[in-house]
Amino acid sequence: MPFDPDTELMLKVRRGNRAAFEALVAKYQRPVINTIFRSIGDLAEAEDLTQNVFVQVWRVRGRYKPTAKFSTWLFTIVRNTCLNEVRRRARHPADSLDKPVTDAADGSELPWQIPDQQAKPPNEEALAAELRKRVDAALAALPEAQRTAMLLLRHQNMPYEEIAKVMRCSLSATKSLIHRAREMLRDQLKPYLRP
Amino acid sequence: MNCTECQVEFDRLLDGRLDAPAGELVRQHLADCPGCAAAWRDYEVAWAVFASLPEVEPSSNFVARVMNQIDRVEREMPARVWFFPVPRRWLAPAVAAVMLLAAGAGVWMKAQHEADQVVSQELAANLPVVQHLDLLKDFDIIADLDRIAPQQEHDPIEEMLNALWNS
Repeated sequence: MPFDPDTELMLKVRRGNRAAFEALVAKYQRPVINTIFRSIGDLAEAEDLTQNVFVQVWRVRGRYKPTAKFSTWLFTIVRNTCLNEVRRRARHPADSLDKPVTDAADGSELPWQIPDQQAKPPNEEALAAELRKRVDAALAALPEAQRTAMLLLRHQNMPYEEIAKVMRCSLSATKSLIHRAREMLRDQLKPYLRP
Repeated sequence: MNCTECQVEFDRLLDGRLDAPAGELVRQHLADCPGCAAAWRDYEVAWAVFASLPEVEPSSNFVARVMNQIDRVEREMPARVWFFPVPRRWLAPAVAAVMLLAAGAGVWMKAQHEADQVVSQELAANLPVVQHLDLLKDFDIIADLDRIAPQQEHDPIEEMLNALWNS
């Protein structure tokens, strides 16, 4: 395995070195929070879960073995944390603010926002915001493995081989996951991509 | 190169992992095939849109919060037993084994104590008989030892008389 400075830091963390741990937190806080945020779609929750990930790293530091890159090990914990959160949410679903309101009179669903027929056409910024919303929705619609593989590629610029280790699948399966995810993303966004 | 072969290479083309000759073949096909060209454009733009999503930032005090949390975790963790570093997964079976041994030893000691009490009670009940037992009768054998095994001492006078008599 080529020299990985983060692995060196983690080996110090394993011996209880707090400064090395602080350096790793500072370096990885951003990719970790972005990966979690794009997986669960809630920034406050993503920050709490990111904190839990690093606390977990500290707790299990004694079990770290430098057989893989530190980032592979870290993002395996990130993925497990996201999976646990998704399962927890499935067990205890909360009401979404985006859920349509039901009309008490006839039980029909009322739209959350009433479209203003007199409104001016949206400007470029509003269109970009709408597109971002569509991308988030398309991402949320992806199966978990495809979404995670995409996020690791995007936020961590992780090589396919490393993604395969995090996902615990073969290299060819990883390539297939990413290809299908990109195809699905393209199909979901197609109406917004053509001029 | 046909359309299927071309579209299979989209990921490698997008990630910049396609070598020069293969890349040239794909680009040639895209130039000749409007269907694949449109598919490639959508593929590329969709990824670009996804990749351009703004990144979120953690709170400015995030690292400090994590370190505080670590302090809390350290305080809450039980003290490590340095003199006997048992792996944590063996701790429960080890404690159970020790407790079983202690319980077994307790039961055995109690049974021994009860047996001793029974003997003491029997002795107390038969005390008059015990007091009149001639416990030293077995020592008569020792007292009669001269009789059982007489001493083979040499008598010089008897030996001299025997020698004279024989001559």
